[in-house]
Amino acid sequence: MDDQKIIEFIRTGSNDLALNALYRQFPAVQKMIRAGGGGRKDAEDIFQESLIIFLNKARNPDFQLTARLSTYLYGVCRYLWSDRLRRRQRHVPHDDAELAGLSPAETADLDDSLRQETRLRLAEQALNELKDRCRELLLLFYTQQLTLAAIAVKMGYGSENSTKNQKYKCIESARTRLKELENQQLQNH
Amino acid sequence: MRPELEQIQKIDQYLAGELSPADRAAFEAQLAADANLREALRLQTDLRAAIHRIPLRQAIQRARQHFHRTQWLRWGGFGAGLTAITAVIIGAFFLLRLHAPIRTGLTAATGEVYTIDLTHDTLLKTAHGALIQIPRGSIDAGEAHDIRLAVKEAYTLADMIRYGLTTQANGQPLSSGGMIDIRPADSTPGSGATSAARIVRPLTVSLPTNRIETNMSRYNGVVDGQGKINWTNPRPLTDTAPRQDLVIGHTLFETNCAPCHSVTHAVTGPALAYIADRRPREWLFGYIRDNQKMISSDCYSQYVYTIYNKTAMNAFHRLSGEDIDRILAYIENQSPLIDSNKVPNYTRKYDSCREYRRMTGLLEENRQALIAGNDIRTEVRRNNEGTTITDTTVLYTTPAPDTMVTVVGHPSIYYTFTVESFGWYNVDVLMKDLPGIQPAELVVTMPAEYAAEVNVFLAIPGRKILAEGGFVKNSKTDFAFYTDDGQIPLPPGEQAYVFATGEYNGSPVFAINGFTLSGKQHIELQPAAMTTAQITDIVGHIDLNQLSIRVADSRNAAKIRAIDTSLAAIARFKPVDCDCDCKLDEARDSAPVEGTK
Repeated sequence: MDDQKIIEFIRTGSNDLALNALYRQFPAVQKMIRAGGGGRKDAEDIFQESLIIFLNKARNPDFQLTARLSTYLYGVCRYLWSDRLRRRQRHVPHDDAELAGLSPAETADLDDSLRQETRLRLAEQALNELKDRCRELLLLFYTQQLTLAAIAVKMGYGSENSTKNQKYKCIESARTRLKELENQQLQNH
Repeated sequence: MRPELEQIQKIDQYLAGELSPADRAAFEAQLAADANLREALRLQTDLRAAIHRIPLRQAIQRARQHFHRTQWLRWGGFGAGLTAITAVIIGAFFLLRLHAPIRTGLTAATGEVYTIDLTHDTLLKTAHGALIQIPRGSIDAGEAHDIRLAVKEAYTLADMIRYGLTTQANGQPLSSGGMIDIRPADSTPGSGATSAARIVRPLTVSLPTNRIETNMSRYNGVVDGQGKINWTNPRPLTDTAPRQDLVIGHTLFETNCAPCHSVTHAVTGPALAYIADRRPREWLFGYIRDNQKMISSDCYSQYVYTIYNKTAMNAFHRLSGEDIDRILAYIENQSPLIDSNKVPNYTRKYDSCREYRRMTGLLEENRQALIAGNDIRTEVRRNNEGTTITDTTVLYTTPAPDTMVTVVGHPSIYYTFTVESFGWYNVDVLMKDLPGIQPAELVVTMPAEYAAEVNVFLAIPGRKILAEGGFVKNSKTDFAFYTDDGQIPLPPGEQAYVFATGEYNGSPVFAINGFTLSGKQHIELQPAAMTTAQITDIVGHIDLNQLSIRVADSRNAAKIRAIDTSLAAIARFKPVDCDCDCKLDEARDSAPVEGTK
């Protein structure tokens, strides 16, 4: 599938099609990460992270590929991987950005994404630790955009009002948990 | 709403752009001044972004599964950079050229025998449709002008085994869409003249097959010392003309179906091999065009949907009948890639499910009849003989207010409570303007799951008053004892108890709280599962002035437990990884009954 088509799929919401095509790049990334001493889990992690970064960027209509998509994805993974190695305080070649084939602008952009990703990972963890019903409610409201009245019926809450209340309680417990996680992370560093 | 929740709501509305310009400005001013609010806003912004990640992560996991499950197929082809020789050939037209002399000594049953005139070019069409081009001069048979050729064709694994044919490419087995074995018919070992015949120029052989596969190649056959043919020098085929409907079907399949389905493997959805043999055509058309509609009306659809994690399939309303036929033709074409016995047979499982439902249905029916034959869950025995109240006319003519709470009875399953209140009064006595009784409010609250299963009582031992509670208006957790707003005349300062009796999840539940009556009170009860002995013990330690509360097995408890055992035993026959619970069948079964009600 050609690169432009993949981007088109992402922009029209056919994520499944795009991701199936993108996943073909995985063996190359896995090979690179294995060569750098990483395991299979590292490879899956890094690769999936790069997919998220790419999908978010590709949704922006201004986004344009400067190289082939496979090259770009490989470069992003390479960059993410050396960042992870640096966090583990291992020796990393100094010119990793250059090695990854990224321009300085792209590197700066990636650094932003990386910081954002790290923060959002904690938020994702906080959501994952929510009660299933809470997470379902939030998903129905924010991603499926159901009305509170519809959610009340679907999930068996008495009324629209109590659903609304429940929604805010769920956000509250996620917010509290996220704060805790952030504090823990600060202490660990 | 609590102030914390108010704040969350405000931030949520701000992020959603739902605040009016004035509110927005006010909120932003507040933000500028309040670091905690800024922090809360940041956390909620992150959470909102993270919520949108959840479906994205799920999509990535689907792609990951799809990738890992289909990986071996890709690696089987030439494209993956493996050495070309290990490739699988599945040819539309399997072309081979024999450079080597035809050797004697190969074993096999005879195939078809053709006599070839060696003085002309010959195009031989065999009984099974293979085309063999034998240009003049390509077979050297010495002085002879004609030669008898024995041709064995094998298009299925069974044929190949029958003829003892195998294919090898430099030591690696090849799978193929068809094989052909050509040799002089009379060349049995030691038989003389024609054994000298040999092929000196290539013959071209075309084998018919219904399958197309982009990775097929053209090989050269080289006969080794044992008379086995080794296939070497693979090159891509250029001269194939695959069936047009299959080509279109393939494209349609890739764009519409392949994101979630493979022919040979379960991915997000089931493997589709042999699907046209497994499901009726009308069902397939219906499911492809609107699976949600089918799921809501057809048990089998619901069943497959459940097995595959209730992942909704796109509705392909716009696929024409012709296109669906092309897709089905393509799937049928690719089906022989796997053994039909390896495709999970959901129909069989589905039938087991139906049988399971039928049997459990019968047992459930019996169970319900036994429950109906039980006493009620909490029986209150009253007997006003010997009461000290003489003014009975007033007692029994107090009209109940319209807002009087409704006492709900529950059928007993395993346990029956008996509340014996000989000589006690009911709630009416409180309406009699007796000394020391004043208007008051009493509400009892408990978790909703218990509230739905218990009976709640108010007991005032000093006055021998027992009142049974019912739900406060519009509540499923709060109980009142006179009117449904919690109002009830009470004697303040006196000892009272509230207690709940019932059963939950197969075990008796009980709770009792003592308190001193006042003008307004809100009591919480926390019922818990207990043994009958524990309940007797608790009640024995409270002075209830001869009010007794007893719990025992219900009349049919033993029989109901026996049915439960059977139900559990049957559950072992329930097909695994299958939710056999289809409400649609029940709806259909009960439809005629509904009409008579």
